[in-house]
Amino acid sequence: MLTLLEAFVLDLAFVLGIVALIALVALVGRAVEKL
Amino acid sequence: MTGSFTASAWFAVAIIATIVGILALTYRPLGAYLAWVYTARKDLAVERGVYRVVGVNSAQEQSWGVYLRSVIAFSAIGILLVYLVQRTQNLLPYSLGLPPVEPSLAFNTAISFVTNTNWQSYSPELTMGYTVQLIGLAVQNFVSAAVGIAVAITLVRAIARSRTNIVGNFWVDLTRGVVRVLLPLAVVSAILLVAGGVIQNLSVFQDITTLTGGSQSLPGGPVASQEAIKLLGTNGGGFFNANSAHPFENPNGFTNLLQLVLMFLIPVALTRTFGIMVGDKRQGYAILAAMGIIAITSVSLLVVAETVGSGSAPTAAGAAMEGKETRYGPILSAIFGAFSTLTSTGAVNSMHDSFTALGGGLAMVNMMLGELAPGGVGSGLYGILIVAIIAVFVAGLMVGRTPEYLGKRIGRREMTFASLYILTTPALVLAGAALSFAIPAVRESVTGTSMANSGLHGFSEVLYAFTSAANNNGSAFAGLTASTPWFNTALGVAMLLGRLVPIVFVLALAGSFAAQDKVPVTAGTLPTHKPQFVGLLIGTIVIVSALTYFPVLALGPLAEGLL
Repeated sequence: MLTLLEAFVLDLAFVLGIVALIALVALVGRAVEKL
Repeated sequence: MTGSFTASAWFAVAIIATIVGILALTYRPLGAYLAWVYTARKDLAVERGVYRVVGVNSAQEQSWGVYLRSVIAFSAIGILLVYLVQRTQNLLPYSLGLPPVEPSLAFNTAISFVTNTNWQSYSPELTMGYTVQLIGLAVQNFVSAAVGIAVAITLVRAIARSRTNIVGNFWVDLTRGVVRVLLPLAVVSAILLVAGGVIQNLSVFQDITTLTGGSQSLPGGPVASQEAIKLLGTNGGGFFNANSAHPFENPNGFTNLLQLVLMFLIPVALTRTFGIMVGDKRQGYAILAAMGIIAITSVSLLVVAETVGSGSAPTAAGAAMEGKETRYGPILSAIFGAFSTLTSTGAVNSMHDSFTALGGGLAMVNMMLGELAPGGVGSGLYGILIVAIIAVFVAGLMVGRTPEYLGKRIGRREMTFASLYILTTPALVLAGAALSFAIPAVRESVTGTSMANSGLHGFSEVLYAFTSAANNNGSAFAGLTASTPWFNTALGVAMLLGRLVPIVFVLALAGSFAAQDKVPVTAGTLPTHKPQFVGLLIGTIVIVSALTYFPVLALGPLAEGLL
């Protein structure tokens, strides 16, 4: 069972991970637009 | 033995013929209806309400770049919302007393449902309350399917247009897909499933006493409503862990047949929509013929693989019955397995990990072909159109003609996008499987905790997982324990990139086609509606996949099946 602090840190990491992955896809889109 | 085999073969033929007959009846009306939905000028009242709430001008179309950013933004919001409802499910009504979903699992599941994959590293009835299932997962079942259709329609629309930089309005395509296509079909399908015995309620677990005096805890739930869109939208995520092998999800032969039909219904009809929208129905028939030949070949091979198996266990049981429901047996299990992996559904009525080595390998090959025969809703059509572009280009190189497809030139720019599309998914599959064994700490967890089998079959379990995730299928060699930080995270990344990066290239291609003028048909134009092109298209699909995946298949299912 996770402590509240551990859960918070993991939530933050995964939410940032989602944002980073989406940003990566957006960057691919931007690069393709410039092709 | 020969008589039994002949009877089995006729049974398989009868099932396939019934499905083909039903799909033949729906092909024209549904295909025409879909074409009307995405080309109609008027909005319905309910759609106008949606546009007002989200602030969309439905009359204003978008460039491909804006369309893409809308898809990405919508997916991002969806993933974050599904993550949030899972992490707060203990605060929500109808949570069945379940705790919040563990963070890495919530990450995996959120991406899984938004990308139309529906990979499940958990037992739904023991992990997700009804509110999460309904407002999180079921909603994504609808909208993720609608996104796939919208992207495919945009590519087709762009092929049909000339000298413009606008390709459609994502919000209009998304809303129409949900309101006019998926919701009505899902309601009808859910009613048919309830009539067939699938449950639909909000009951909590009920403790009952069995005939032998034992006790059992029976789950309830809004199953039929989720089941309908699970198959219609080629989603595949089960309400229960056993998926369509569970008697509350798929109780009998009628519901099983209905589920098979629902998986193919929209992807098949979309080829008709394609023909109508590009103004030449023969083009739709050619694409359908390629899909049909691959599908029938695959189903036949999988049925053979699962029915001719020999050895002491199959002989004792009368057939290769490990991991299969006695209600369905090897033939209906093999057909379901083939349908599920030929589309991007991933639902199962038997455990693919227990298929024969070559049978399990065939399920993997179906996904490795790119899930385009007929593929997922929308993704199947845009997938096969990308390969058609490559086929035209290859034919052009062979005979020295300028490649063109449906009046659009296939130049450097178009081939760049098509090639990147083709390379994205294999890169994710092969890198994911390789990293699972190349990083010492990960390998220790994968071989020590996750793999149910060692050696070749264990490798196949890991390969299947990444093939399924990157192709947005969602089925599994379920012996693999995938609810570990490595698999939850790595498969989540594979699902997200495997869905959205190819969509970038499809929409870029749409933008490129829409901007072009139409090239007139001349004597030098390769006819793309004739059997010769169907053969070329099938050959291209097979060769591209074989060259990419043969080495890794040789390490897993092929070696296991031939040793």
